Amino acid sequence: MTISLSDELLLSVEKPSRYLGGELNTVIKDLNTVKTRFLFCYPDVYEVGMSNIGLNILYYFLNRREQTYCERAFAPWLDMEDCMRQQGIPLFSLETKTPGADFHFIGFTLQYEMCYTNIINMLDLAGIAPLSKERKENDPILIAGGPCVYNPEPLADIIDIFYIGDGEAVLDSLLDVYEENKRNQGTKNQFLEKILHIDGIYVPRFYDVTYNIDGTLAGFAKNNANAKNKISKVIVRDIDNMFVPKTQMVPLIETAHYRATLELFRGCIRGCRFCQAGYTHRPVREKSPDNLLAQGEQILTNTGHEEISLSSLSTGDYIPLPYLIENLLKNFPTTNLSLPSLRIDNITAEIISNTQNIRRSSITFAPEAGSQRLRDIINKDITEEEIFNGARLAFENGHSKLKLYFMIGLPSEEQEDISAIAKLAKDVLAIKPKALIVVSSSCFVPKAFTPFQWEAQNTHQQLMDKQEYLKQNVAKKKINHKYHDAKMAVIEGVISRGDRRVGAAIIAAQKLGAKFDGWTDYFDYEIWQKAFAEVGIDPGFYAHRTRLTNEILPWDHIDIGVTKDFLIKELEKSKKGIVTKNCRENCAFCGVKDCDVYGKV
Amino acid sequence: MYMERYRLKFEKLGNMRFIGHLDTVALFQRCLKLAQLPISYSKGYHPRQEVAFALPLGLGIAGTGEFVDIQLDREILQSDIIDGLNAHFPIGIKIIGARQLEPNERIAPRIVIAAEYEIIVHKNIEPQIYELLNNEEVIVIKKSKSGEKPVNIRPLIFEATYENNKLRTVLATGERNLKPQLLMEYLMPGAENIYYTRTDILKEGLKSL
Repeated sequence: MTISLSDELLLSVEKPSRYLGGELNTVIKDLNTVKTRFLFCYPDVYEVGMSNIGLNILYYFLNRREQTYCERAFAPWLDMEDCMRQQGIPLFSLETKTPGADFHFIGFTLQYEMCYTNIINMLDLAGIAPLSKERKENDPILIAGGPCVYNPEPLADIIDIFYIGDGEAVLDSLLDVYEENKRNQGTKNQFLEKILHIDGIYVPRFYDVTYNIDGTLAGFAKNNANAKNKISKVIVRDIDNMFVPKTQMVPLIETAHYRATLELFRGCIRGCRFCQAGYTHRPVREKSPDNLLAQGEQILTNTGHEEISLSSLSTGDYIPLPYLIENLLKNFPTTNLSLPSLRIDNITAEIISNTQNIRRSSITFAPEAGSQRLRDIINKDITEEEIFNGARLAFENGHSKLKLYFMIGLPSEEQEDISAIAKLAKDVLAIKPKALIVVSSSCFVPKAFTPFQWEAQNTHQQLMDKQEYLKQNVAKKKINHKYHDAKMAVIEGVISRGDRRVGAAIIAAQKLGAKFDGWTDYFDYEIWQKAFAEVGIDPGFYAHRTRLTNEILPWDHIDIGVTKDFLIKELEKSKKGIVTKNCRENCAFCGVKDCDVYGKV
Repeated sequence: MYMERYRLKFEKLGNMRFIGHLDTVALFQRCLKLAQLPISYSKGYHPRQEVAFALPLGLGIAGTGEFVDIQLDREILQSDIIDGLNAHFPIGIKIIGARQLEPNERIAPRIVIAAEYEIIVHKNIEPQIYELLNNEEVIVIKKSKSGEKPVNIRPLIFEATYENNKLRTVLATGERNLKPQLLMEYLMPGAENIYYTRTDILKEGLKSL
């Protein structure tokens, strides 16, 4: 069965091409030759999802398997959802317009916590029960991965399989087991049992959680003999020989990042204490520059894109970056470069002048905190002088708009630290008074597997007071202030360190109408308050409570390689304002041993 | 530099009907690049590909006789242009013809005066067509950004014939143009499931481009 969309429906919604498929470089397969059907669901709007490099990699990775067909679905925008519900149209795949419930696998990428209600909403649109225990033998198997998977617990009652680590690592093994199990007419449960030996695979139904009277975790125990006590993340160590798609899908409408993306490396040498990816993606694994050059040229040739993003967690840390840029531009002189994560302390005039283009003359740096004291606490090892030098370099090379990104609500933050943001912005403006400075202040959300995982998050009132102070004291004629929704940050805080009980609140919030929670226009704090009350959850317990380091954390059964002892040490050092050097300068013995520099510097 | 200009005829069908004009332009530019045709670029600070569409096609309308002019830096076999582009277009867009322009021929958007449509309806509208053609004045309310105003659409209808649930009509384009939807709203107010196809784009003498 396939879905057909009427002309009237397509003409009545904004941007019908979100629902059409048929984009350049998408994959068409003969359904008669396909054995395993996989629906990759991106729980946000099309333009956001289609800009995601992970989707692109896994799409081609899965489709390179002859008998596997990976198709795509995105969260339909609100106008489309209304039409679908009115006309009884279920969630469908873009490639073959097949209803979601007809797939063998439904995969969700967990990019940020605020899209979790969209996951429930997409399941609802597909007619699939949100709780795994309510689903039947023939319902699709739900699998999830991505950056938020390191604390899978809030979705543990919903998702059947969590995939922890690099998708390229063991996804083939998992699908091989699935196909074999199907050939032998095995059940879904038999399949789930058969994958328990694979590293990186977490099947939450085979574990039970118990709680103490105070609400903290009492224990986490497996209920199946084959289940592992700890689930280790999987990585691809030999990143130069890893699968890389030769092309990228090119949407027929402009998307959030309408460009080619070249992934330079995984992991990060920095140990910023607020940054989850900085710990969960260790060790750093760089691709060799000539390999990247070949990959970049191939992608530009096959997509016709005018812009390429050199992407990583900290692109300025890629040592052969100047070589890569120079040679890429030699063969593609009109191509615009986008370097999304530059550090202010290691940019060069060369890099800045190459990334500058007329269309987008602004450049963003992230000092993260206003004062040196606080930057030391969060281990963002840049000095005020380096910030000024970086700004000067940007101005000298033609940039007239400089965006400075800060976080508020960081551990131990005082009024002086907030005032320091205002002062820093003024001092940067003084370098070039005609420039425009944009101060962006987002709200700190403590994340699992960071040294701040035990810290209390500020309340939304505290965060709003700080934002208000900045609004009063930063915003000037030449300084704009942008800030993030404090209430949204608190909900994110509840989910990011949530346990299994939080899942009920996510389901309840969706029932009450929550969707597109990451979109300020659609985020509704009241709904979440109602949802927490309905399921009997105190959000403060998750967001605003300082945990003891001996408390069992909901994600303790996941092993990212970095040890808990190391994170505790980092927490203690942060309290003393002691900086930990980056991995290249000095190995801090984080525990990730399969690393080029572990114990060697 | 020696330039060669070509007029390509193409179809826009199926899902591609819902790709807007600007996105269609961008798609052609990308596919010209992907096909590695020696497309000419305009001079100046922001070089642009020399591509000129005859007439934007409204969202949802199929096209079986659409036209676009391109300029190349050197002569290329017409079949190579067609095959090269068709290898890259998504399903629904297809080049179906190409011819080299004479040196003195003006570019397509400058010479278009009318477009031919085939409109499939679900009821007999022969009497309405007959009445339409026998009136000298047909006033309809045209809605635009600046408000609503009455317009006499009769002079904008060059031809209209009806047979077997299909209306074939030639409508004026340009400054005083008539959209087929406006005509149908007059002929069949509130009707749904009308299927529009633009079958040709016409220059003076109502000749195909």
